Amino acid sequence: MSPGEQAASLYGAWLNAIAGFYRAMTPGAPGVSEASAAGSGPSPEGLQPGVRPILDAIGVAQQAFNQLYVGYARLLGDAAAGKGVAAWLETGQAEMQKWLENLGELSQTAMRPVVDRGAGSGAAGGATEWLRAGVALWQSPQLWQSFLSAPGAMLDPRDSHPLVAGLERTFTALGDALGAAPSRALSEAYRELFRADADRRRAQLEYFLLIGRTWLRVNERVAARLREMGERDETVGTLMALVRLWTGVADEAVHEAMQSEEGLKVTAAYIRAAAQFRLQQNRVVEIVSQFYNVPTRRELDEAYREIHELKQRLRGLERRAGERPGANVDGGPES
Amino acid sequence: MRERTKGDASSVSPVRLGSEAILRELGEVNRKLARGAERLAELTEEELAIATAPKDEVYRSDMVRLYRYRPVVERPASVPVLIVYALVGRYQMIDLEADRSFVRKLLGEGLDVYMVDWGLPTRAHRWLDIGDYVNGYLDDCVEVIRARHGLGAIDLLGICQGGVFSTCYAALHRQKLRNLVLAVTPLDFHGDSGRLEAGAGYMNLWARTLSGEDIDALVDAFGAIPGAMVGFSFLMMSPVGNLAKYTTELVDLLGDDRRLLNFLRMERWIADRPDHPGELVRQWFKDLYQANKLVRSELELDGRRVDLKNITLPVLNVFAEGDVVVPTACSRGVGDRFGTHDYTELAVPGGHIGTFVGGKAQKILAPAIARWIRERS
Repeated sequence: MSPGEQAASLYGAWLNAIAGFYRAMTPGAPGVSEASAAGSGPSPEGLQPGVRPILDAIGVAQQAFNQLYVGYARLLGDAAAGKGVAAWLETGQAEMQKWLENLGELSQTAMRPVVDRGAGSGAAGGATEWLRAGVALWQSPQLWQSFLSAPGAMLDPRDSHPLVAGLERTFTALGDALGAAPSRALSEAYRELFRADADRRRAQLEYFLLIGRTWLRVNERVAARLREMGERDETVGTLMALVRLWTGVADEAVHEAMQSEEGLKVTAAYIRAAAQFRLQQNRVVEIVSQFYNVPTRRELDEAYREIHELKQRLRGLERRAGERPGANVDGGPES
Repeated sequence: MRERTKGDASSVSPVRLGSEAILRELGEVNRKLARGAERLAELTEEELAIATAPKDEVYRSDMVRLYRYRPVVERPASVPVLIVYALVGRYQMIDLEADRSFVRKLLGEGLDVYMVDWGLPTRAHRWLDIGDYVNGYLDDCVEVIRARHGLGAIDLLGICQGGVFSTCYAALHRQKLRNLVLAVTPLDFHGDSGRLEAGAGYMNLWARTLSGEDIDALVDAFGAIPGAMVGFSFLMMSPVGNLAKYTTELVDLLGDDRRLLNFLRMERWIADRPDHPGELVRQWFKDLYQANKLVRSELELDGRRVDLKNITLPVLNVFAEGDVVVPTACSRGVGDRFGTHDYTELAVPGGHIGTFVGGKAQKILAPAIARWIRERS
């Protein structure tokens, strides 16, 4: 990935996160378009390098603020009926609690196939049930379906019929025997990849659960902070000031959560799962590369290692011979 | 509008928001955003350029380049100073903008400044470790400068990770250096243990939470750790703050051209994250973040022990009072670990990066370093 692509991917992920953040802060929000947040639109001509992501950020901010302001304006319309910011905070707490319970249940359901690993093809809690349960549980499938639609879960032989498993074994053996493809190795590598993918998604879920629980604390603290300000007769005169208060409180709460024992644990688990997933991806690619007689990453890495060691030896020999690195670009001495 | 909060009849909400005022405010925000978008489209490369202090490349090896900044005084200091920046970001930070340039300030103080640019490592460089950087590339650069100036020893100024490299270099190649300056450098990687500062040192904490196997898996999986991953870990140090940065803060600065340009130039630097050689990451995490070998003089590079007691030259250790990347507890109070009797600590206002680009720090940092060096010339 080039530095430009790296930056684009980083900005894309972050701008999508912004959209989610403001959605969570907005009463009755329809949601910010994530496609625009990811910067997928056409690039205006003549923009200087690095400006496009900021332009995307402006687009996201515009959408976020529009929904936020309109949401609060509606909320104020309801204030006469006994609702208002404080009431909305309480409602938000209840909804967040429900969201967390659902997510927690989803996480438990998602865990089941792994817990049942090795229990045979008739094990309860297979991929289909997992999918069905997940979709039913979650009200905003766009975000969470990605966790549930792991193709590997459906192909996992733990859930397949014994006949399918038998056919698979027979034909992969035949494929190997005829030299048609590295069927068995590839099949096994894919299974491990799917398991690693499921583990990674679960780790992601745990991570989001932590963030969700933290958000509950944010709501409580914002309410408390507002009460304190009210008692001191201080005012929040603009919505932007309220947003700033909110983000300040959220920042503190997230810091606490991420630095807590649990926060560090789920972060480490996520990193661990992501690395294992990547290792399994590498394994699949390696098997395919070998089959097509393409140099594998491992082989290239070994070549790089040899070049690296040769360079080290050369440097050592040059040092021993008293050679200094030359001014190989501009030799002009300054003395 | 004043509203009573449920469950506490005595308390009154301080929120004074009327529908009309909210919609008026929204109109204002939208106008600011629209004007900002127009301004972004007009910007020229000249306005956004960073690292513009004139310099000449004097040496290159692989992806590494050695530059000499053109002196701005008639007779610069006779002993040059070599700046060693970190690998996690590009060197442009030290010369971000003409009016916020650490390098220009040093040049203005009459110093002769060199800088090593570590370049953009690729998968081909995955086997490079700290030893390769310290005993290889850095030593080459020092040798080139010594040869160019006919000097036995030069001054070294290491920043953050570059400060760790410089410390190792000073311990292993003492005779080639005259003075050592360290800035925002983690030396005692466990200095923050039991002294947790809210919001600071998140990187230390999670690095210590990972097991050795986790680090091996990460390095084996990626070879070179992608720059985007490194960038993301920095964003996660202050996730909400970084979300606000692209929304509320952005709205604030869109109407102020100077602040907008500062912001965009900083973004240009932030977006340019090099990949990190895998073996170096393995060593950095295991030997430094986890085993804290540097400050214990237990780190080994190319089979040689990095004994801080070998550092008998004058040392200036600069730390940032508001540093959340390298908590001050990891930088300060390590004078007794060095062999030198001439050890000075300097606290500067600002954060890890603000030290080099912040208004207050700009007035203090370069003049203080230049003065300290002059006093030891």
